[in-house]
Amino acid sequence: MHRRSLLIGSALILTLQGCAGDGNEGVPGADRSSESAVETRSAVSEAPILVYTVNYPLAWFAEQIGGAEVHVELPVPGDEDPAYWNPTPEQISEFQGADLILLNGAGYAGWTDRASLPPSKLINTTRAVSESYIRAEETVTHAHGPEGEHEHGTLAFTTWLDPTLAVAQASEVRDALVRARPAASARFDSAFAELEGDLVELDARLSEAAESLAGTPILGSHPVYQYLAARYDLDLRSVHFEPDELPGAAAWSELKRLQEERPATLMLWEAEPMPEVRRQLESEYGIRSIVFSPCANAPNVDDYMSIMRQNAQRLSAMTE
Amino acid sequence: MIELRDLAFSYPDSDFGLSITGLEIAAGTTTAFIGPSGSGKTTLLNLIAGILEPDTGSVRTNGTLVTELSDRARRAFRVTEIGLVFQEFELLEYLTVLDNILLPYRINPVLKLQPEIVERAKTLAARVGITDKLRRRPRQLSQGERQRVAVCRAVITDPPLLLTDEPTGNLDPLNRETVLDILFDYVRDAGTTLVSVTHDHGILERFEAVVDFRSFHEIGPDSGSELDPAR
Amino acid sequence: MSGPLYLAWRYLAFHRWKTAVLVTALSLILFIPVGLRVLVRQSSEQLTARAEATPLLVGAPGSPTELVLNSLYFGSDVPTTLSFAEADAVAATGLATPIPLYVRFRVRDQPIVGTTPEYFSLRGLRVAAGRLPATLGEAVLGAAAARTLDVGVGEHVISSPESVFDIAGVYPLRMKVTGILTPSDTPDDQAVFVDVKTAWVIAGLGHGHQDLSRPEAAAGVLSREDNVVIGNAAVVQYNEITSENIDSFHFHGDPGAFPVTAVIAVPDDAKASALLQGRYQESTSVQIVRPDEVMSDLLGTVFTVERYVLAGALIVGLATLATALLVFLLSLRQRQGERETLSRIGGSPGSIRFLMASEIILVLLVAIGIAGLLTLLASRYGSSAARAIAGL
Repeated sequence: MHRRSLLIGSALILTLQGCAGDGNEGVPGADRSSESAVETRSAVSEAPILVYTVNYPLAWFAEQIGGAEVHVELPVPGDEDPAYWNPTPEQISEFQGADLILLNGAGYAGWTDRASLPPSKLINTTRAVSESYIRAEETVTHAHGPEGEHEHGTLAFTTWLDPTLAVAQASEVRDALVRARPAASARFDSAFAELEGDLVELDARLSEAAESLAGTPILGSHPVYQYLAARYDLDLRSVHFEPDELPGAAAWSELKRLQEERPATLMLWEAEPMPEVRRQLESEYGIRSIVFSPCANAPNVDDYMSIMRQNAQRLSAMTE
Repeated sequence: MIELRDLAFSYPDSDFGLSITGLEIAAGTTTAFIGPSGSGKTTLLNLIAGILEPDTGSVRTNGTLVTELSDRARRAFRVTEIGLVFQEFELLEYLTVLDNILLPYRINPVLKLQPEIVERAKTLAARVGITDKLRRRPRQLSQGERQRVAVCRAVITDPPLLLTDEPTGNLDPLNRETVLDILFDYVRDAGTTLVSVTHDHGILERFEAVVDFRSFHEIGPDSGSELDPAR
Repeated sequence: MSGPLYLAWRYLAFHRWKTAVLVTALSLILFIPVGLRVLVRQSSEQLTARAEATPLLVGAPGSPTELVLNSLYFGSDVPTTLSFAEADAVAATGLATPIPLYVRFRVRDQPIVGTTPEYFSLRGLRVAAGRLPATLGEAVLGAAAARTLDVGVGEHVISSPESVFDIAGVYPLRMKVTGILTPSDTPDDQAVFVDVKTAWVIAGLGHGHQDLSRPEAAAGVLSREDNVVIGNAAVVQYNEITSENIDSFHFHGDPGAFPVTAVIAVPDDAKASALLQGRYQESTSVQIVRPDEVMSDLLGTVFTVERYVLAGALIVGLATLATALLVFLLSLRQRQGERETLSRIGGSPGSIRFLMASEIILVLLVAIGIAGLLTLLASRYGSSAARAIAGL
């Protein structure tokens, strides 16, 4: 299975190549910290903190904050959604050997509930902001046992799309790293401050873009934009369209029903939709499509922040 | 050769006393001590064997002045130079016949048990007719057989002197003759000096000399004269 | 063999029954106090070592001894449970790492220890074959447990029902053995380790949904409702978590409210340990104990009992020795004739004395040898036997 490793900068690649193993590749677009990595390399006396994460945003936060003090692993293959990925027992063994395991919380990556993971290494990064959790639109109802029917309330889990929650999550990552290596707390604090600044700036850009969308009904190709919508007061409902598939009749009829209820003119996509779908949406329903990538898994080009900035850029462009 | 000179012996706390001015027994001869109970026959035998020490006087046996030896040396002398046969056989019940015959080689470090000694024990056993009893225990034997084992034990070291104390006292007439035949055949063939205490007058003609302790007493300690072996 | 020694041997062999009785009596009277002492020392050392390797134990209020015996030695008396949230509470103090333990179920006689991967680090346990449990329904076995249950990696073990009349309807769980641990010479060798969540599944707190779609399982449900637990050949008598159904497995309610029998707290340092104990001092809902203190109290009792037993053994031993002495003296008197004979035919006093003394010397030597051997055996196998007898 293809494994993706996230490494910061060429200097760090040189120092860590031995641990990273075969088939790892540095994530493009992470050059920004390469200088600081070079600067702090001499300060790295101990082995890097081994951090395993369940999605790309957390991996990227950990790398930004940890720099040369951390070695971050995200074993999810590039073509899978980390939220629904299932590791092999061997991959779980690797997680068990980590110094820190960063979880997203809000029910993200359900496999972690069924795996044997060391609680003392587990960091639920949304634990402190759990009151902000949003209930997902659909629920699974079933019956078993003497207690009869009950609901499994599922939570929306793309928490980081609200940059204020992303800051909270990054803050948890920083705290965990400080606990793991108090000696490097100054480095973690300053890197976190920089990251926080970027996220606050992103929040401002998104706020600005969203202002003009106030009151406009919007569609999500998938129910992943709940936290984005909540943060910026977007009137957003979701359908179930896959970017790389032609939607079936059920998906179209679901869309039709929604459009009759509240005609939307904009649809956010996780990735670039197929051209014919884009055309059909535009011509039949007057819905324009734009890509707003949740960036749950590691991108092939660019990094988390640049992709989020591009998201904001596209959103602003759309509303001009 | 046994020589006694000016021998005096008394048991403590007893009025028994034995006093002998002189007594000589030639090497290779057979001598019987006879006399009533309490006349000192066995005491004299024990003095000759060095089991008892005289108050005064000397005992010379086979050229060794036994009375001058230390206790340790007398025991070593006794186990190598003297064979002893007792009325009660005095075999060890927990040993086999063969081990009983070899006993002298196991109770004093001066004797070393060599393989040829074991062979000699077997030869002696064959000679007295108990070859098939070597693995038995004494209590599985008849009285006569037991005394034959005791005789073998007494002569296993090929001693120059054999002292027997009533050797036939516990035997029936038939066994008595067998044991005596064995004894006398042996001492004749081996040239051993035999001194035997007995009160069985029927066997006296087998001996070359007889010392009668009755007359010996009459001659007594005061007479100073030698005891003449009566024939 | 020297002459007198040979004679002594022949004597003992001839009186073999007397000898055997003497040797047996003396061996036992020597072994009982020595063996007991070795056994108690060794067991106490093992128990103490284990207790000292377990810094702090958080449990529900109740007998500290029961808590320690269950948590450290997997004793069969299950203490009152506390909620899993207490583990988080320990972690929240920032003073110690919590390791939950749920030691309630068994696979036949082997304890199922529900815990988290930190436990293996704390105890320094390594897999000799396979790997540690990765998911629900997987188990790793102590070396002795694997031997006793006669299972290897890739095979399965089934949890035993807590009682024959388990009307709560909790099905045994069939678990896949993913690894076997290297022997550690501790109670861990006897255990079947699973994730604490797997132990909760055995307790009926979590389940999958495959049973609704499986007719044979539905039959099981029916028979349970009819209170017919045994006798239906079609009934599936156990649950199993497989790669097909694991995604549907879930727990009802807040895991923080789920039971554990204890939480091992591994403080960061001595100061953290003191602070943590201070925090729990006033608590009425949980107790915190130092296993080494609890064990030393318990062992104090054991040592007191041992002293009484030793005192008793000493008295019996003196009586036995006196009897043996009498036997030897009688024997010496009985052999007076033999001594005189040997003396008369020229036996050396040394040889005769040795022969007479060798009876007692040989008997004593053999008795000491046997007692030593028994002690050695006791020290090698006794402590596990003692543990088995004590049910720990």
